[in-house]
Amino acid sequence: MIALVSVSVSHYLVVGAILFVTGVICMATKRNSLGVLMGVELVLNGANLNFIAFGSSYLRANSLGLDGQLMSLFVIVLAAAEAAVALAIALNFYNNHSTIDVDQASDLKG
Amino acid sequence: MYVDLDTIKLLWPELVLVLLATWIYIGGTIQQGRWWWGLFALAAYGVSGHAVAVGIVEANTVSGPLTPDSLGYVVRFTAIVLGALFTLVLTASARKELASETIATLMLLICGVMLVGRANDLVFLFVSLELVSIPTYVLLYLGRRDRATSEATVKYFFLSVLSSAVLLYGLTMLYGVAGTTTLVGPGSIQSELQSLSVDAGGLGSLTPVALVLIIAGLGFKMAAVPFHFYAPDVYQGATNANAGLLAVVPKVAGVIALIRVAVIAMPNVAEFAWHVTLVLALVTMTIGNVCALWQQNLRRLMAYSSIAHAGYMLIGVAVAMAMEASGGISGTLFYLLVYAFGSLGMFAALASLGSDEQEVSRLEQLSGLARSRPFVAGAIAVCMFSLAGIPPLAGFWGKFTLFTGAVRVATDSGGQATSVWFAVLAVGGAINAAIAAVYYLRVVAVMYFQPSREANFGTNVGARVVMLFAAVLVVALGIFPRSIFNATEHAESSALREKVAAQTIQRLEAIATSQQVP
Repeated sequence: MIALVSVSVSHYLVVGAILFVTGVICMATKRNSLGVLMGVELVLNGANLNFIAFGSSYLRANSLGLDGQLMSLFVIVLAAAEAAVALAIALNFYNNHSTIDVDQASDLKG
Repeated sequence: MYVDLDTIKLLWPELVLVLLATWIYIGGTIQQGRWWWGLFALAAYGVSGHAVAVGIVEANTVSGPLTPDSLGYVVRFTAIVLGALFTLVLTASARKELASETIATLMLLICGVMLVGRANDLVFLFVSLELVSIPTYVLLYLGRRDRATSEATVKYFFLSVLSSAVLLYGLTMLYGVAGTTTLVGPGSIQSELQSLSVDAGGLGSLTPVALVLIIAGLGFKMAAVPFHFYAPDVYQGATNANAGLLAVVPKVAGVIALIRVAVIAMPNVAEFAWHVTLVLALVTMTIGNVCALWQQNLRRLMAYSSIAHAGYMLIGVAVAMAMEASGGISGTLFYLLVYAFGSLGMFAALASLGSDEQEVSRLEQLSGLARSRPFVAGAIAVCMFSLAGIPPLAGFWGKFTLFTGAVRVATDSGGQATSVWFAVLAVGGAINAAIAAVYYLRVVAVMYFQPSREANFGTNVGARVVMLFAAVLVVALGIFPRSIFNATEHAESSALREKVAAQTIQRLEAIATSQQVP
């Protein structure tokens, strides 16, 4: 319990920021489009962690209600909806390109 | 019971659209045929528009996540009109077996824009923006099934998701700093930030970070720098109708969200905000206009034009950030409307020329169009002149308001540095308008002064009606801009009224506490 007292919001923010940056790096370097999708999940969860940390009644003197937790729930649901659409898009890409390597998406330029 | 009759009444225009869109999804499996569902969707927009109009008359005192200001009404009417017009274009050009899905997805997208227009809460705003994004991916995917479209969809999807995540990360910081998710009103983000100094350390110093992330995230929807580079590729890969949709509808949502969050709700970083927006405006419009100069693909050309217009809109946003009640919001709204109809007319004209075998996508396909299709050529010319900002068309008044707004801040503001910045902005905008005229006029010159080519153009009736409507509207707004100006000015003052009221309450409270001390 004593160890927990010294944990503050900023510790959570650092973890959230690390998740965010890891996700962005994952999106930038992965060639498999499902790998890129995993990067998206990391980025969104980094933001979720921020919401939970900012809204937590243990880390803040004044209570903020459940707004932060609620927002995280909404984001989780939205991420699921986006993943469903992403799979359809990846399948369509596979039908046309016979691969889901996003580096092959390089026909359009000018 | 939390969901009572008042909530349903308040959300009725949007609920109608969602319910009828679901009906179309289900009914489309039984009853096929384009015009059946196209006319059904038009009727749905009619019902929804009527409900919005009735809602104005009723006293709107309910606060919470919905704001009753007239900025919301302008956005909702615009969204409904755009929805009806795009329904006509898409009904006529979508593949027959996918027509009902396309129309219903468009209805959900329009519902998202309407909700963004009245959002007064971070959760509500973010979910509404996602209701704009997700149907857009599906629409892009439904347009065509070839290599180019699948590539464009993948590119749009991943960048859009990344930008949503960046926006969300910015919103978390805003929530952390203010401790609430309400944007404007008593005890809201706006009133919490009003008294918060950025330099004092603590959580307050996160506000500029939040602002940068929010502007970047919404910049994707507007196709503004730094998230602009997707636009040319994606528009090129999409169908003409879908490219028009991408150029217009997400931009409306992005601009309104930017006004609601960055301009109205974040007063303590206004100084920093207008610096960032001003630089982005200059860079965005210059990149858009210069890159458009050597494009041969019409959709790429219009994509760079869309980027450039996002830059012009950011001028208005910067003006609104630098000076309160300066007409910045009103000018941006007006420009948004003018741009939406000019761009819509152009894309509808391109869609109307396409047939099942062949799609119009290269500039030389338009050569001699004035002789083979004089009406279409005339409509395209009107839209091009309006986008270039040539009087007496609507685009001229749009640019005129934005540039005079920048000049007003340059002359009226106290600071020397502010004057110089906004003078540079106004001059930069004027130079850009001149550059833009080159490529818009090149399209007109190709249509009118080059020999006619043998081409089998299609006859897409829905798109042709929309094209003529947009062209007539652009001319009418150019001759009678006053009616729309009145609406946008009222929208601005009503959007800022809540803010002014909150400031007054705060000032009175401060006086009251200072009097209690002795």
